[in-house]
Amino acid sequence: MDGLFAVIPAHNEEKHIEKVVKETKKYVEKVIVVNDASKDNTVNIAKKAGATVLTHIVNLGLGGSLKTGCDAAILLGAKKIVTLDGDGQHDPSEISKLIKKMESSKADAVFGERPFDKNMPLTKKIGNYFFHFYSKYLFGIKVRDTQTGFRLFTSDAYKKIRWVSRDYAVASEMLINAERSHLRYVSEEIKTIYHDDNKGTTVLDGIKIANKMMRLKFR
Amino acid sequence: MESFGVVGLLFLLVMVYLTYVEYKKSRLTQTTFAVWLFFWILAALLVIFQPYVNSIISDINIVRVLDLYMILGFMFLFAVAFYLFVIIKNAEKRVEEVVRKVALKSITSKGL
Repeated sequence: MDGLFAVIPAHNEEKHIEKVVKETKKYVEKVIVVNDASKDNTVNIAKKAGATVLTHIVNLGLGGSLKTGCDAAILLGAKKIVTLDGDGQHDPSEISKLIKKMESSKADAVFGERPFDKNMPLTKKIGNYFFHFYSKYLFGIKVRDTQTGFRLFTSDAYKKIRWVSRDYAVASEMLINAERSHLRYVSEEIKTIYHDDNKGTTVLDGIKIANKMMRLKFR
Repeated sequence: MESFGVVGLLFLLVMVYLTYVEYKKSRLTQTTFAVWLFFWILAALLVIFQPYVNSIISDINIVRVLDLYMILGFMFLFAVAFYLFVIIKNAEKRVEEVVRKVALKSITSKGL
């Protein structure tokens, strides 16, 4: 728990953010919520729940928010950073599972891996299988679930995987940078909770991610 | 000069005036103003000396002056699109930097 900071990007997450922050606080030293220009009460709720809240005055997207949060964590002296979604898709009690995996495997980064089972909506399952093979073919990435936001990495690893993507392509870019920097990374099975109001990625986002990955291939 | 040429010249005169107005309001730099003025004058010369242009373009297999204008117009539009793309990408990058700086300032100033 010492030196472990959680970074939670949030855009209009007043419904879930309180529970996410309170649960996460049990496992980390500090919770940083990056309010990505929310129009609802996310900021006040997150502050009340005990998070350090940073606010983007203009919406930057998931990648932009994660980058701000991780930069803040580094500034505040984090040794390890865990990222979670602000919509309650991830179970914070599994943070300890990721830490154990990092310690046992001596890895620089641990990426959460959701089982592609019946709980996962069909469109997401197809998309995730596509990105698994696409990432493997283009970059040799060994992780099966390339799109989850539940990840743990050391502050040194963050400096190597720091991304430029402002949107959902951040998940893939993180893996690409880890592979290119020859970081030791492993994956660990996690649960995923799908809500009815789940915003997540759309087919259009998927096309944008695939396009971004192709451009990264030739960067 | 054909009626099409007169319409073209009137349009170019209006564009010269609008460019001048933008320059007087300091929205265009001296260089940008000069570049645009040069462009409008060049277009006007093409309209005025259309018969001479006709004989020149036939040598490069362009049948009508209108076709030449179309080709030049497309070339210009593609160049403008590229220029705008670069400007937007740079602006996006700067906005991101400023937004992040403002967000991070809140933790450094509070000394959290």
